This record gives sequence, structure tokens and C-alpha cells, in this order.
Amino acid sequence: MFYVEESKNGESISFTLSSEMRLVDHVIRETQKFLVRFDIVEFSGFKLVLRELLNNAIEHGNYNITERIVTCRLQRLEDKRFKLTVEDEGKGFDYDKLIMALPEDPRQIRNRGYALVNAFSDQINFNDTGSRVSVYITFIEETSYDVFGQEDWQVILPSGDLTAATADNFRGQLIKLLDRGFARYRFDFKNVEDIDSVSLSVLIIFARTLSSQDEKELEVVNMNEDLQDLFQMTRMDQIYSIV
Amino acid sequence: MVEKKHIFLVEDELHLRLTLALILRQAGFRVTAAEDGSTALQKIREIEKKSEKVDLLVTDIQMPGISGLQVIDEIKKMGLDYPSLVITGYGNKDTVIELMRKGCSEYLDKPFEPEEFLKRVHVVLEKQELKKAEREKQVTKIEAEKSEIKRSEENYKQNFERLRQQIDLAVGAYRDLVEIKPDSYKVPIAYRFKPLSDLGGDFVDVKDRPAGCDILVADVAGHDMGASYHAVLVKVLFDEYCRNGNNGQSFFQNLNLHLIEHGKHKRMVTAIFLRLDIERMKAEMITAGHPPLILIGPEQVKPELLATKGDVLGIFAEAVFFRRSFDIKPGQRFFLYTDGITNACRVDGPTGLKTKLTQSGLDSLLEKYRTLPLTRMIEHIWQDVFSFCRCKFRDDMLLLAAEIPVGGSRRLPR
Repeated sequence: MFYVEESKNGESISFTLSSEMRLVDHVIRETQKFLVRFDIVEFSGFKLVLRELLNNAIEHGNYNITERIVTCRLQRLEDKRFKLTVEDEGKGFDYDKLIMALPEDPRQIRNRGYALVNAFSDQINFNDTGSRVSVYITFIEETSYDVFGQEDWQVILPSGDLTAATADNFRGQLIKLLDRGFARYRFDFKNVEDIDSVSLSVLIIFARTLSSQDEKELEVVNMNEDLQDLFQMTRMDQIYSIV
Repeated sequence: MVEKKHIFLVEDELHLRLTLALILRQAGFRVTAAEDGSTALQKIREIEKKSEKVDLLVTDIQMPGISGLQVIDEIKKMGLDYPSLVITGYGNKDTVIELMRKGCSEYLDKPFEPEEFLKRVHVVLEKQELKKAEREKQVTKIEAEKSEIKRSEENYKQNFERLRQQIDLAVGAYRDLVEIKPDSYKVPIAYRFKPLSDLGGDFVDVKDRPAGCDILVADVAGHDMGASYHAVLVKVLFDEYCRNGNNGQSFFQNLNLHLIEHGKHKRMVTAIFLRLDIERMKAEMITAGHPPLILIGPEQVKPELLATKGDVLGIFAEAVFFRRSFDIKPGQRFFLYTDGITNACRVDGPTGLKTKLTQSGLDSLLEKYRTLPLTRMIEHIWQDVFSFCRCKFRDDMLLLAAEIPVGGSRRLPR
């Protein structure tokens, strides 16, 4: 059996369920509906976490005894950060012995559970006995790139960090601009906290490809101090003027 | 003829009892109804005596005298296991939890529509059907599907295994590439390495020379097969350089040109090269956009950073690299690392605050464990870095330490 309840302000949703595996999918569906309201569209990591915790609670906490109850609460903390709490009626377990690093051999399936939960969350907390677990999760969106003209400049505004995962998209956007033959480019990094070396390579190659043009001008605005250091260290500041 | 399903209905309100019984009968069920708890229990005893079966118990929860919950308890006490659908007037959380505790199958809040009622009845019965595994046909069908799935699974497995083997070869090659034997060099070495995935872009190698050691640490952008391919290139050129004994500056120039020429998808490489001459007690360092070399002396508390300049490798044909020579002393320790360590970060769950380890974080770890023997020092720092980032890795990480031996090299030639 299954009971769902939402807080009045719509910021949290709670489930009370009997220990039946078939209900896990039900909870996942309901939480998904809840998350969509906050414009969250990529759930795969979250689903892994939720399924793992519920399976654990039903199987290892409540020993599959239907009459034992699992409670689960998903609470929005701010923006796209959430706290997920799952509690069972078992006697808990020794969570200090958990190994949080994923096993080196991907074929090893045993003991991956909590390592997976760890990999897809910011932090895991247990109560004293281990029968209640709280997991903090931030939903990270893939960086998108806003490109627009401003006076004589082409402004490139990424929505988040520039990493290897998004580098292909970034490269694609820049190639499109090259094809249109603009000369002055301004990168607005107000939303960028981190740039990894793959994306840095993309920026360097972009500059080199442009260098055949006489009139070219490249600048970066709104860059944080760490990134300024990175630009100096890699001498990127000689190609891109930091404004 | 298929035997009709037998539903036992307990409902004290006359009108509702008659309505529900009618709905059920019209839906093709056999119905036995009782107007209160004690009558219900009596009738159930009679039914059981006649060895008839009940397929479903539908009971109101709130009734004068014996309540619906008590009826369920009593039935259980008789050793009977009826699936049950409970009608609640006030389906609040506590009631639902109590029903779960008693192992009820479903509940329905009053008021409800006849369609909803029938739907729930069917849901419970179907669940029961499945449980009893009466559906031989289904079972055989499922078995057939299963074997089909099994077949394609086998197929996938084989394909996967083939791919896996190829990847394993690449992974093995990469591991061999970055694996060094810390005990076998003239200068004591300790190191730890953690690629983000199977293949990585961090690279380390140590080579003995007549008077000491050459150490190279490099970081190729990315952590995939392409990055590993670049790592191979770095390795080949480093081997060649060590054989020919060219100077470090020309090694970096050569490496740079090769990376530009052969690296199809241009990738930035940063590197640091350290030559330790423990006969003349001299060191030479060359860097290419790599994080600084760190030095801790035997009497020194604060780690000292040895400047980092020089262009990165693999991008500019006319790159300039930074070279520096200095004297070394016995007991001094040198640390080379990749930025995966200083960029290791953690997010505090409750506040969402993100903290990076940073250079000063690494410095304080070096300071904290500086009095330990070299190998244990690196071990402890490594553990602390892992727990700092809670084993959530974002980049390849590599840390290497070398200690200038007291009284010359451990194994001088001849």
C-alpha cells in the first residue's frame, strides 16, 4: 500500500509505503512528476539514488516484510538542490564500513550500491543506527550557449561551467560563428565557475583559427579570480584580453 | 464453466451494502454480505466449515460493535489469509499506515464512484491471481519470452565481451604506461595515481641516469582514449630523450612539435620535468603551463613553490618553456602533481557551498604529514584528498614525491 502527501507550500513530497518492491517504481514516477515542476528534466542519476535507497530499505532494512513501513521524503532546499530522506523500520547497519569509491572493475556488481549513491549526490548522512539516510542532491544542467550580437561584438554567454562533457557543443557553437566570419568576440563568463583543460584547448584553437584574420579581437568579461589565474598560468591572457 | 469469484462484503449501512452487493453481482461476482462484524465472523466460520473459499474481503472500517480492522484481525487469528479491500470514511495517513501494518491489499476513501470501486476490486483480485501463479499459460509465455531475452542477452554479452577485451587491452596498456616501480630508482620515490575512468590523460615516468633521476609528470586534457593516445606519444618521446641524453629544453620543444603534428584533435598538454643529480647535488626543472614544483626541506615547515611559467604543449609551434637550475640538499623532498588534486572539490549538502582543495589546501596537507616517512606521507595525503572530495572524482589525479637521499644515491653504479 502506498500513501503520498505533499506539503502545503509544494516544496516537499512524502511517501509512506508498505515493503513491496513493486511500489518503488510508483514512488519514482511520483517524484519525477514533482521534480518536473522545478524544470528538472534529467533524472537518471537521481533515479539510481532513489531506487537504491528504497530497495535497501525494503530488502535489507525491512527484510521484505510487507507490513513494515518505509517512509521517504523529497524536500527542495533551494533552486535545484534537494534533500532526500529514506527511513525503514529495521535495526540499521554499520555505515562506517561502507566503501564509497566505485570499484575499479566495472563488472563487479556487489557493493556498488552506496558507491553509486555517493557518486550521484553531494553528501550522505545517516542517523545513529543507520535506519535513516539523508542524501543531498544538486541537479546540474548541461551548459548551454547564448550567442548574440552587441554593437560590433559577438557575445558568447555560457550558462554554466565549461567541461569536457560540454566541450563538443562549445566547439560546434564556435565553428558556426567562424563560418559567418565575425572578427570581434566577447566571452561573458559570469556563469562560469570552472573551465577544464579540454575546453581551454577549444578556446585556444578558436583563437588560432582566427589569427589569420587581421582585424580580430578577443576578450573575456566577468571572469572570476581562479579563472584569471588559470588564464595567466597558461598564458591565455596574451590571446584573450581580460576585461 | 468458470467458477464465480466469491466476495465477502461487510457494510453496516443498509443502502450502501445493497448497492455494493448489486454492483458486484452485476459484475459477475458471487457475493455474501453481512451487516456487522459479529455476523460477518459467524458467516465466515460457516463458509470455512463447508470448505468453500472466499476470494476477497470487502469491509467498511467504521462500524458499530466490531470494527472492520477487528474483523481482519479475527480472520487472521482463524488462520485465514483473505486479500482485503477496506472502505475508509477518512483515509488519513494514520489509518492507512494501520492498514499497511495489517497487510491489507487496498483501501478506498468514501465517497467513491461505482467504477472506482470495481476497479479496485479487480486490482486486488488480479494481484491475488498473480500471487497464486495460476496462470500456467502466462507462465509458459513468460518462459518463452525469457529464453528469447536470454538469447539476445547472450548475444549482447558476447559483443560486450569482445569490446570489453579491446578496451581492457587499451586500459592495460595505459596502466603499464603510468605504472612505475617506486623502489627501483636511485632517488626514493613515492606516488599515487587515480584516473577518473579506465583511461586517462595523466602521465608519469621516472628514469635512472648515471648521476640520479629524471622525472616527468604530464597532464593531457581529457580522460578518454584520445587522451591516452597522447600519453603514449609523451611516453615514446620521453624514452627517446632519455636514451639520447638531450637537454630538457629540446625535449619539450620536440614533444611540442610532435603533439601539434600528430594530435589530431588538438589537446592541451601541461608538463613538468625534473632532473635530480645527486652526485653534484644539482636539480634542473622545466615546466610547460604545469602546476608548480613543491619543495620541503628537512628543517622546513612551510612548503615552498618553485615558480611555474612556460607555455602549454601541443598548441603553439613557437612555444617557450621555462627552465630553472638550483642546488639540492639531502633530506629535501620534491612534489609533482596534476591539477586534479588541487581542483578536487566537495559540496556541503545542507548549505550547497562548494569548496575546492586548492594549492593552499595541498600545502597544508604536505605540512601536516611532512615528518612521516615518504611513502606514508604520500599515503596519508592521498587518503585525505579522497575524503576531502568524498570519493567524487572529477579529473585524473596524480601525486609524486622524491626525496634526496642522505649520503648520495642508494645504488651508485658499480
